[in-house]
Amino acid sequence: MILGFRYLRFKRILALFIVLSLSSMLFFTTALSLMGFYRGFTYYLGEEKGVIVIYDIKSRTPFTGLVPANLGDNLNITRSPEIIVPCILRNESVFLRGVIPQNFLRIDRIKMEEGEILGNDDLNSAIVGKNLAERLHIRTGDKLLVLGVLADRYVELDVKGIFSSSSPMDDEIIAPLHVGQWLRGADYSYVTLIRIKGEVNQSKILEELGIKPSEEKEEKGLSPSVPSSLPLKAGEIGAKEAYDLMRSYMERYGLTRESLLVLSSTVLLLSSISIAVAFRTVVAQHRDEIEVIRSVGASKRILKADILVKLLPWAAAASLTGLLLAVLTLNLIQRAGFLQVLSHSPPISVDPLIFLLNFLFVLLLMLVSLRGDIN
Amino acid sequence: MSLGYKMLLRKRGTGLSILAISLLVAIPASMSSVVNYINSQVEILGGLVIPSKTYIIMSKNSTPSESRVNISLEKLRAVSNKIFPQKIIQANLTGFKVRVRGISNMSFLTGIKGRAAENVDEADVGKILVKTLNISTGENITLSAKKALTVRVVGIIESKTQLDAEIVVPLETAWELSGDRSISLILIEDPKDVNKIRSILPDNLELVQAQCIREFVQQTNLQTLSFLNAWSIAVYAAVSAASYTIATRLITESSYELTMLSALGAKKRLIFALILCYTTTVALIGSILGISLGVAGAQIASTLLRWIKNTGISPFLDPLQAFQILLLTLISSVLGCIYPALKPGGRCL
Repeated sequence: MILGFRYLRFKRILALFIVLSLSSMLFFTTALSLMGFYRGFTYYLGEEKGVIVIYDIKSRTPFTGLVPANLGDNLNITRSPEIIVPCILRNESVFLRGVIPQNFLRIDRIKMEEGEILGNDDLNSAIVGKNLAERLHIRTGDKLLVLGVLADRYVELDVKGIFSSSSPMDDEIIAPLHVGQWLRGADYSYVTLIRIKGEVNQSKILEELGIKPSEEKEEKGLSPSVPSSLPLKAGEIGAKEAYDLMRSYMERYGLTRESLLVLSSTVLLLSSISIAVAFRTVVAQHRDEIEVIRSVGASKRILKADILVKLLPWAAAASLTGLLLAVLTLNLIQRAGFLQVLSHSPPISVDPLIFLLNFLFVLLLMLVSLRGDIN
Repeated sequence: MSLGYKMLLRKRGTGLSILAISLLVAIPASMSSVVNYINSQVEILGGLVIPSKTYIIMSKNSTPSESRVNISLEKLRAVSNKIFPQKIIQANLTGFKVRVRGISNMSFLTGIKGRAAENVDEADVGKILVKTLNISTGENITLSAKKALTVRVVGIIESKTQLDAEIVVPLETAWELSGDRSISLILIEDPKDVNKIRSILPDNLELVQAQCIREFVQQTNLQTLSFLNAWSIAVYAAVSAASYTIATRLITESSYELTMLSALGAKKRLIFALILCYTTTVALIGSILGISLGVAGAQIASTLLRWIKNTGISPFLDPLQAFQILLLTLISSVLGCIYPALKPGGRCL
C-alpha cells in the first residue's frame, strides 16, 4: 500500500465489485459461447492433427458438398467416406452422419456408453450420440423415424447403441453410409466428404487426385450446392487438413477467432459506462475520507495510485467471479438445451487469453475513471 | 413529490446513468436485430426449396414398423388418387434380420431390375440387401416371421430410398407372414388437400410429411433465439447491478436534499417512491435510447460492412421484441434499486 490508511470501506466497494463481476460475466458469457461455437465448428471433423479432408470446393457449407465416394481409393491409407445430412427426429432438427463403420472407427475413437457398435452388416441401424440421446430420451433398442430435409425421404432406424466421443458427434446420429445417401438424395457413388488419416501429406493427395493446389478456388455465397453440377471435375475437389478446412468455411462468412473476440469485447465496452458509474459512486461515497487525506498532504497522484493498488485485488476477484458465474450460467443454459448452434452444443472451455483481456480492460477502465473522478 | 422528483432528475449524474443503461440495453437490441436478419434469410433460403408432396399416415408418436393404421381408404381416395397402404414387418432370412414391406399396389415401385412381384410367392429385394446377403434374381428365399414363407426373387430394387435395404412383397404376402391383416402406414403422394386429410384422421393417427425443410429451418432459428434469450439473462443482471449503483450514487449525492425532505416531514415511503420513480425514469429513457442505439448501431455497422466487403445485412427489431426488452429492463432496474432505496437516508453503504 502507498498510504497506510484503511479508508476504503468494504461495503462501499461491494457495489463496484458486483457491477464489475456482472459486466465481466456478460463479457465471458458472450466470449465463451462464441469461442465455444468457433472451437466446436473448427474441430467438427476431428481434433487430431494429420486428418485430411477431401471436399467439394463449390459447397458453401461443410454439409452440402458432394464428392465421388471412390476418391483416394487407390491410396494405401485409412479413408472414411462420410455423408453429413440434416434431418428431423422427434420434431427436433438433428444431423445424421452416414459412414462405413469399419473405416470411420479407424479415424475416430468413440466409446460405447450402452449397446453395441455399428457393424458393416447393420443396414437399418444407427448409434446415437450421448447428448442427443439425453436430449431426445433415446435408448438402445428404440426405433427412430428420421425425416429428410434435403430430400423427400423417411427412414426407420433401430438404435443399436449410445456413444460418447467428447466431440460435436455427441449431438449426432451415426448410421450406415447408404442411410445418409438416402436422406441426402444422393447417388450411392457420392459422399459429402472423405476423411483421410495416415502418413500422407495434403499435396500428395492433391497430386494423386490430379489437382494442383492453385486450382482451388472457393466460391462465396449462401445457397447450397446442388447435385445437378455432378459429376465433379478435378478442379472442383479440394483436400485440406480438417481444422484448416473448417476454419476456411468460417472465414468465408467473416467469422475468425479475432473477429469473435472483438465482438465479445464490444459487449464489455458497452457496459463500461456502468463500471464508470459504479466507480464514481465509490469515489462519491469516500469523498469525506479523500478530502481528509488530501488535507494532510497526499497528492492527487499518490491518492490515485493508492486507490488503484487497493482496488486491484478487487478487480481481479471480480473478473474471476464473472468468469465463474459465466461458466455456471453457460452450463445451466447448456443443460437446459438452450445452447445449441445448428443442433450442436458448443464446448465451453476457459481460455486464459479471454480472462486476461477482461482483466486488462477492467484495469484500463479503472485508470480512466479514477483519473476523472479524483480530479 | 413532483418537486423532489424534479430535483433528483436535475442531478448531474442523471445523464451518465441514462447512458449506462442505454448502452447495456443496446447489447440485446443489436444482437436481436442481427439474429432476426439471419433468421429471416435462413427462412427465405428454406422457402426456396419446395418440399415434394409425400405424406405418411401412421400412429401418433410411433415408427412405421410399430404403427397400426385403421382408417377407411375410401375416405382417403376422395382426397388423393395415389394412396399406398403398406405393412412393415421384421422377418428372419437365413439368420439375418430383414425388414419386409408389403405394398398394396406394386406399381408404386420404380427402378427395378427385373420386374415387380405380382403374386403372393414373389418378392423384390433391395440392392443393398442383395449385396449383403448375396441374393440373385430367380433365387428362392425363405422368410420367417410368425409364419414361414418361401418366395422367389423376381426383381432387384434400386430406388435410393430405404426400399434398397428391404424385401418388398405384395400386401397379401406380408399379411400372411405376420399373421395379421393390419396396415402399418398409408403413403400418400400429391394429396389435393392436406388439411382435409388431417380433418378425417382419428385422434390416434397423424399425417407426417416426409421432407421437413421448413421444420428444420424453424428449429434452427428457434435454437438461436433460445440462446439469445438465455444469454440476455446476463445482460439484465448487469442492468440490475447498474441500477443498484445508480440508486446508491443518487442517494449519496442527494443526501443533503433527502435529509432536508425528511426534516420537512417526508416519510420513508415517499423517499422510497422518489428513488423508485427516478430509477424507473432513467431505465425507461435508457431503454428507449438503448433500443434505438442498438438497432441503429447494427444498421450502421452493416452499412459499413456493405461498403467494405460488399456483403451487408439489414438488421431489424420486431416491435414485440422491443417491448420485451423495454419491459425486462424496467423490471431488472426496479429490482436493482429496491435495496438501496429501502435503506433510509442512503445509509445502505
